[in-house]
Amino acid sequence: MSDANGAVEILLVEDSATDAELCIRALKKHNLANKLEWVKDGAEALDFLLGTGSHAGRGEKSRPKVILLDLRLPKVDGLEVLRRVKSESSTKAIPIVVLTSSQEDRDVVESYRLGVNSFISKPVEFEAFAAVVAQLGLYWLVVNRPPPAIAKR
Amino acid sequence: MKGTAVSSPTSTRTRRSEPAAAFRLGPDPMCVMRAADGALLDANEAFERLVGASRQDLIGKAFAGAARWLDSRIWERAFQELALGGEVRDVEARMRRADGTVAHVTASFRRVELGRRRCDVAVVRDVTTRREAQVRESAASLYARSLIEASLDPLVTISPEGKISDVNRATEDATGLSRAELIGTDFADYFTEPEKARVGYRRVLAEGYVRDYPLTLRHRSGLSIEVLYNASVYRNERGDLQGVFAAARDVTMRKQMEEALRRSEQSLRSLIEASLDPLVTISPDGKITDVNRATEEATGIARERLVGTDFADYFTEPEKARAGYQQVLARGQVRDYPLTVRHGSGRTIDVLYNASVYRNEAGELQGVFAAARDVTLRRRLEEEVRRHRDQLERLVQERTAELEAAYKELEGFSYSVSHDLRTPLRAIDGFSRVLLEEHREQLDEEGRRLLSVVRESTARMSRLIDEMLAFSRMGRVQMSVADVDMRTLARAVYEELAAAAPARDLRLEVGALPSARGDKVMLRQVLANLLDNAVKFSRSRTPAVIEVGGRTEGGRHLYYVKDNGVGFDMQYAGKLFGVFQRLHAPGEFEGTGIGLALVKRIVVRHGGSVWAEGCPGEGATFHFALPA
Repeated sequence: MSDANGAVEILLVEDSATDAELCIRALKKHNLANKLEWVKDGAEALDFLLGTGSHAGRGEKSRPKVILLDLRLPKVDGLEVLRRVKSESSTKAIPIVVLTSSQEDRDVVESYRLGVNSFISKPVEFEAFAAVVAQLGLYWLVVNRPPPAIAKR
Repeated sequence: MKGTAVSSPTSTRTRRSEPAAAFRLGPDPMCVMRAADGALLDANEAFERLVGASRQDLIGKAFAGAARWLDSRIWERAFQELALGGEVRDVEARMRRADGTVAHVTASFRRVELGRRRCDVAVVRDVTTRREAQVRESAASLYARSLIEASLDPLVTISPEGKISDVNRATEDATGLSRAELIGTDFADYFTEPEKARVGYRRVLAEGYVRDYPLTLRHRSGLSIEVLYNASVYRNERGDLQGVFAAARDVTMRKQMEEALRRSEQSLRSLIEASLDPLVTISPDGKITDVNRATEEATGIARERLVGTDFADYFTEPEKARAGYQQVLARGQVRDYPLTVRHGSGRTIDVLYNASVYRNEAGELQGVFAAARDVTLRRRLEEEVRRHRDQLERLVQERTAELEAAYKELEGFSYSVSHDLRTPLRAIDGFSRVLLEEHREQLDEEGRRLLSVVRESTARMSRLIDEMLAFSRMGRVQMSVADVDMRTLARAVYEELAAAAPARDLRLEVGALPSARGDKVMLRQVLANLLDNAVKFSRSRTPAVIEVGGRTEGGRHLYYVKDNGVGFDMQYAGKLFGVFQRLHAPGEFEGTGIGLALVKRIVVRHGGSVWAEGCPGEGATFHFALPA
């Protein structure tokens, strides 16, 4: 889903195909899903962001405007991805939004402790879910001004 | 007549004869008076010296006027007697001498015929010296007697034959017999052992005295008095044996005290011996001076072999024993000083020592009195208890760990539920929606209705999951306990509920709710759920009346929420507080059946209880009680 030059605006880290599809649908409605990369587990997310594994050699182009991160993920879980991204100097400026089904306080607390930029519980009801996803897509891609290193591309 | 009387002695003097010279020079003062008128006819030189006047001055005077008598009137009587009887002997009188001193005299008179004349011859003897000696003697004797009488000890004199010759008052008291009754009787008869009394008496005669000879005096009443006799012989001036002087000392009291002391010492000793605790006395230099039977048993060593040895030697730690002992000397006592006694057999006995110094009457340190308490059994029991406690603690730890693991599992489960169940739900809802939006024309009315049922069910299941998680969280979350103003809280909760139902005619009556001690957020949840129920189930009433009240009773704060709603059948009261238990169909009243379960869970976590009363169509009252 990345464009020709490979620049990615949204990295969606989501193991659930249905959630991913619903999310992408909601973004598409507002034409926000054009430069979206979807990865299905934490390991792939890190590879993508750090240019390792199957994403080796991607370099700086792999830095999206926002990461939508689920917490319950296969291989490397969401909190670990968050911790790694926020501790790497090359990636720590990338805004991360946790988008999860969890309503557990401890997840909220831990996410903020690790430096998350926003924490959103996915509403079960589709209209509410679609509205939330559209809002956050608009906010991070249009309203928010990203750090210069990302914006100049 | 007068002239004749005067001339006669003159002629006597002129015609000196031998008898006349004897008269003049005799040692006793003499004078001669004319019987007819008492006038002095003559006086010798001794008389002149006695009265201090010359013969010339004296002649012609009356006898009563011849000297300075201190009581001259006695002469009148003496001369009357003389006239009647012709002789008066030893009339005692006092006179003042020329030098002013007083002389005691005795005068004797005789009426005689001298020539043809009747004359009275007087011989006056100066008895002053003898008289004074007599007075002195009698005073001394009185003094001695009163000393004897004043003695509290029975004193008695006994003749060489053993008969009582004199007694004092104390003897009368001791025997209960009078002096008259006692004198002349046998001394030995007044003792419980007369033979022993006689032996003592004979010893006095043989040896001259006895000292502290014990006898028992028999009182007339039958009482006996323990005495110690001290006796010696007494003799007259010539050295002849006169008898025995015996003094008894009443020692009944002393004997009784000695007996009491002996008995008390005996009972003290038997107390000490009866003690199950080893008792020991120690000299100031640490040597054992006495032990009781329990000490022999504790050490396995006989008393004779313990006494005199070093106290510290009988412990597993002699240095510690010495330190304890020094502590007693320094501080006067020790309490519960732990030591281990070494028994002769090699086994040991754990003891706690209590010891204090003891002093004599003068306050001088005599040694240490130490009592040991055998705590071996106690130690063993304590050890046993400790072992059991440790085991119990281990068990508790194991169980706690198991519980913690179970909790963790449960938490993981809740987490999974919250996360994993929502995702498919969201998919069902989302794709139903997509189907409705993007494939609408392929669906008929019934198809669309079925899809909306799918979506409603999804919404309902989502709510159930949320509340189930809230319920599980309520059991795990930490309570922060504070004083909670229940009245204010009830009002605030009610305002929120009323605001959400503006169309309803709601009336609230809040009584005086006692403040509670608990977690405010949780107690708010309790009130919210109860009031929410009250609002909900009184939907059909106009006005709906909700009453909140409370009181403190029997150490509990009691609260209730009452409504005039549909009520419930008491036969289902037991199901009210169960999880997902509902008494009404979902179509009738919305709700998941978790509200009252949550109320119960919170109240129980606060140490309280919940219950409800109701009747179909007549409203319901929900009660909860919290510890005051």
